[in-house]
Amino acid sequence: MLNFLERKMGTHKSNPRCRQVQETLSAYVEGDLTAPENHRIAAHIDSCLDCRSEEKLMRQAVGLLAAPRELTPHGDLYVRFDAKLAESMAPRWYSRPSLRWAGTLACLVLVVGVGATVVQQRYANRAPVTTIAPDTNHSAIEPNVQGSNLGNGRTVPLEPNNKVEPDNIANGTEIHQEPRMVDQAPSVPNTSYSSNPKRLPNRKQGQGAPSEFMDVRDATGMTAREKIESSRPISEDLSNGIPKNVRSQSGQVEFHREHVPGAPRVTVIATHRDDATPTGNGISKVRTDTGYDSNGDLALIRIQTEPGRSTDTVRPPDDNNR
Amino acid sequence: MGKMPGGSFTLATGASIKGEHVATGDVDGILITRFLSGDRSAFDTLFAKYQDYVYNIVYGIVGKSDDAHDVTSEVFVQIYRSLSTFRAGSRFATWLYRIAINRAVDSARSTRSRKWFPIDDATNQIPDSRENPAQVVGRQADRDAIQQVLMMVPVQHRDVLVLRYYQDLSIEEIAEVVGCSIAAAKVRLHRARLHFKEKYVELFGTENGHTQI
Repeated sequence: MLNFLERKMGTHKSNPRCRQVQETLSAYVEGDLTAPENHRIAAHIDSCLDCRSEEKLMRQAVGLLAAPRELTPHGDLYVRFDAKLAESMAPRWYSRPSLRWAGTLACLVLVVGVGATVVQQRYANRAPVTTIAPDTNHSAIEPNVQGSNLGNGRTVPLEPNNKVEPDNIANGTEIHQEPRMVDQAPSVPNTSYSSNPKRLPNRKQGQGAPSEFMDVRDATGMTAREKIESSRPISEDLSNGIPKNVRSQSGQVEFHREHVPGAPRVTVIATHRDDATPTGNGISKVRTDTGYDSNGDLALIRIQTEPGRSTDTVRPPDDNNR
Repeated sequence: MGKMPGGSFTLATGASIKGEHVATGDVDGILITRFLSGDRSAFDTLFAKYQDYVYNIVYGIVGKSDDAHDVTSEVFVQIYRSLSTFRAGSRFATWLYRIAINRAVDSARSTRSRKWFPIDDATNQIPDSRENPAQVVGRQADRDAIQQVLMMVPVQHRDVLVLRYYQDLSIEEIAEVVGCSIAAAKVRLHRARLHFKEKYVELFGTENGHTQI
């Protein structure tokens, strides 16, 4: 009864003597204590029911632990050992120098291949920038190799190198062209050919022009293909005098007689007024081929127009030479 | 002296040529020397001699038959591969038990999240055919109870209990295997017993002990 009350009130655990016994109980059960210690613990256990109960539990537990038990492993233990040993002794594939180098090389090839593919796809997704500029020999579409940073629809000045070659002008008269503003095809993405020379179109007219460029519509709403088809030469016989107006497919051709002082012949200058831009810069002239008969007289002028070239201007001839 | 097969022998340090252990009069030392000279059968002899001891230590700590077989075989693989680094003058059994303890504790810790006790494992052992069936059943119940309680004891206390009660090692031998002082080994063993008793009471109650299973 007293022990029950002690337990309920927690005095057993808080009793210093009981606590000391608890701390040495396993050694007592094992017989590891000295004789005086052993005698003291035994005396307390005889007088304390709780410690006696604890001692009984400890003996049961230790007795269970100390019960004879010898387990025998399965007969395949050596087989397992042998298999694990063989596995641990087997050479790894990466431990062989040749395979290690082969693996490294394969990884390198893979990386280079993937990188090349990525770069190729990146540039393949870019469409080249083109500008449609008049050609001194013929209407043509040529890439703007200088304007790689242009956006759609922007204009850039070109170099004033569009002098008409003397062989195209009779009597050595030159027609000077002002520096031009060239429209960029609006629907063409901002990409330079220079970044991918393989995609540069053939600059010869009518040869090798990629079909996507031929079908791009510019500000005039015409495609390059349509322009080429519509820029067929207009021929006029001048033997009966110079006509005043000749209708081209996309505008009106006006003729002017021009004579440079000292020059042996009079030159006929033809300008083209584009229907799309009839005023201002709409006056354009692309090319004239002047022919002469056997007497050296002006016989034929062939005009090739390039419709839609609103920025292609020609300096008007001097009226004094008419 | 406990169940240390090599416990009564100490490797002689008399001769050591190029790391080889020449142990006159020491059975284990002779076997090691033969093995290091290329005699595989010497290792097989060591394996046959120690496999039961190692298996009992490992099983006591990991508590699962299949895991114990795996870990035991891994212990012998490690012994096989590192026997050349075994220091002359050390006791081979101590070295072997230390490796077994470390491997088993690592394995037990890696599977500590498993709270269930593989009760069927204990019944999976091979009984001693010399015992009658009643003895076998009674001892089997004891084994189950011990292992069940032992698996509830923290791993850091499980090893000293296994060495003390499964292998009957003395405090001095436990201190040598675990790598601590004798006093520290005593303290560890005492705490381990207290833990075991607490878990024993927790599992089977205060009366009749494991007979309540």
